Parts: sequence; C-alpha cells; structure tokens
Amino acid sequence: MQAEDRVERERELRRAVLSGEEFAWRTLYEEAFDGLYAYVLWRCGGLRDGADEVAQETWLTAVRRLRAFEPSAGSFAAWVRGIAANVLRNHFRREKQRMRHIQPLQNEPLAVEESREQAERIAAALDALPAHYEAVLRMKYLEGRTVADIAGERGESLKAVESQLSRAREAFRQAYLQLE
Amino acid sequence: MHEFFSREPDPLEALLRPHSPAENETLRLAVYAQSRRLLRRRRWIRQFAYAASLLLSFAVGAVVMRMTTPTDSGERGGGSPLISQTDQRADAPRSPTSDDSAPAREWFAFDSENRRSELYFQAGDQYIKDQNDLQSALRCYTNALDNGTEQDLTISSDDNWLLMAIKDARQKERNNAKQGG
Repeated sequence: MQAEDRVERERELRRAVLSGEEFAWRTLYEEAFDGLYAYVLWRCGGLRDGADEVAQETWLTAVRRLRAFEPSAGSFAAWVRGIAANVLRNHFRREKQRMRHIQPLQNEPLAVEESREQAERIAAALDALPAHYEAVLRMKYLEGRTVADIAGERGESLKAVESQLSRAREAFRQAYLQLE
Repeated sequence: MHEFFSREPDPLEALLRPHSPAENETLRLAVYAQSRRLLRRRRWIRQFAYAASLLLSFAVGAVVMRMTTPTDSGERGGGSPLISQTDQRADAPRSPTSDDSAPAREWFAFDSENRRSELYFQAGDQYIKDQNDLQSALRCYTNALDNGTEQDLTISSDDNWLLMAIKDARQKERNNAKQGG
C-alpha cells in the first residue's frame, strides 16, 4: 500500500472510531494485534504473563488516546508500539520495585527458575537500551529484516546500519552481562 | 564471559530471537472486549452530554422566555398570554355584563342558542352608543331580526333610527312579496 493510501485509510478509520463505530476499531485492532503482541513478548524476554499484562494495558491506553494518533506521523502499528514501549518502561519499573520485596519461590524447579531469570535479564537489558538501538535490534531480530531492508527504509547506507547494529549488539551484551 | 556471546556468527540470535506467540486467541478476544466496552462507554457519555446540552439549552430558553414575558394578571386574567380577552369571553359560557364591549356582546350573541336575537340587538345598540360603528350595528340588527320572531319586526318608540329603518325596510319587503305572490 502506498504511504498516502495508508495515511488516508488510517485517518478514515480513526475518524470512524472516534465517532463510535466499532467495526473500525476492530479493523485497526485485528491488523495490529499480532505484531504488537510479538513485540511485547520479545521485549518481555518471552515471559508470557508480563506480556499479557502489558499488551492489555497498551490496548486500553490506545483506545483512550486514539484522538492523539496522527497517521501522517507514522502507522497505527508504530503508534501502538510506542505506547507499548512506555507501558513496558513503567512495567519494568514496577517489577524492579516489587522484586526488592519478594523472594523467589523456593519450590520452583531449577530449570524453570533459570529460564525465568534469563528472560528477565533479556527484558531488563532491552529496556536499558537507547530507543534507536532497541529499534535496530527489533528490526533485525524480531522482524527478521535484512540489513539492506533496514537501510532502505531508513534511507541510510548499508555500512551505517551495520555499524549501528554492531553498536546495539554490544550495548545489549554489556547490559545483559551487568545483570548477571 | 557468558556462553551466548562465545557463539558465532551471531551470539545474540539465541537471546533475541522472537518467541512464538502460541495460543493468544483468548487474550485477543478478552482485550478486544475490554477496549470495545471503553469505546461504548465513551459513545454513551458523548450522547448523554449531547442530550444534556440540548436539555440545558431548552431550560435556559424557557427561563429567558418566562423572564421576558409580561405577567400582568389583572390584564390577562391569569390565563395563557396567547389567548386574547375577546377569545376568552367568546369561549366562556357566561352572560354579558354592562362592562362588556360591543364585540364581546356580539360574540355572546353568536354563541347563544336561546337569547341570540336579544343579544344581537344589545350588541347593535352598543356599537352605536360606544363607537358610532353603523356598519357593525347594521350587521347585528340584521342578525337579530333574522333570528327573531314576527313581533320583533314591529317598530317601537324605543328603537333608534337605524333599527327603525331596517324594520321598515323589512316590512315593506314583506308586503311587496305578499302583493307580488
């Protein structure tokens, strides 16, 4: 779909949702749900309970704030992902405070406990990254795009994207190892 | 060094690979239902606000109208300001009084079934007395004679000049009709 068509279509859907038409909301929701959930799950290091909570809060925030969505500034999916990033930041802040007061379950199997700890470290390391590093890692690992594809979308050279990817990996590695 | 970073070519592949979303249909439906409830609530609130603003506008309009409309009960008799005094009298099933105007008396005559002729005579008299309105008096006298008896056509010394003239014309008309027939 051409960018102008996408903007026009999403603007029309937004107008319809704001005037109370449920089919329009359903259209936006269904189109963006899977992508958003995959992103949230990735950011949560695969922890499903946290991802469910964040996804739910994200969608409810999105429906409340839909008036602020401007299609010309980016797609609906990107807008909802931005909301999710904020919700994730708050979620991890709350989790960090909660973990200070709660001891891990003693009767949990060791493998499960280790797996969970690793997932939490991944989530925390991703949360610690600057937004542009998180974005390039998302495109590469979550969306499975090639360096050339990323460079094409951003209007940057292959070399620039490879360099940024390399720095992002290193930043993630440092953040991950610090949490060990 | 952590084991994940010792692998080649991409040590982050294992950590950053996407996770299978598996079965998330329940979550999808539950979140959709919640968001739809929010949408509906917002729509109801908007409709309620619209209805409330309409109601408020109507109430303000009614208050302003009430404040700006004169409420002289002596003049209006406490009734609806849209109904004139004459209309009220015409509707009221009461007898005329000495205070009633000539048009009011004419309406009483129009409404009356038993005293129509008598009341038309009174209305005609009053049109002449109060307003010197000969045309209205002529109309009332004509109606009075049309609704009256044979005796009403007899000219009396109490009759005014207009009524005498009408009675005289009626009698002549009648005589001519008899002679002609």
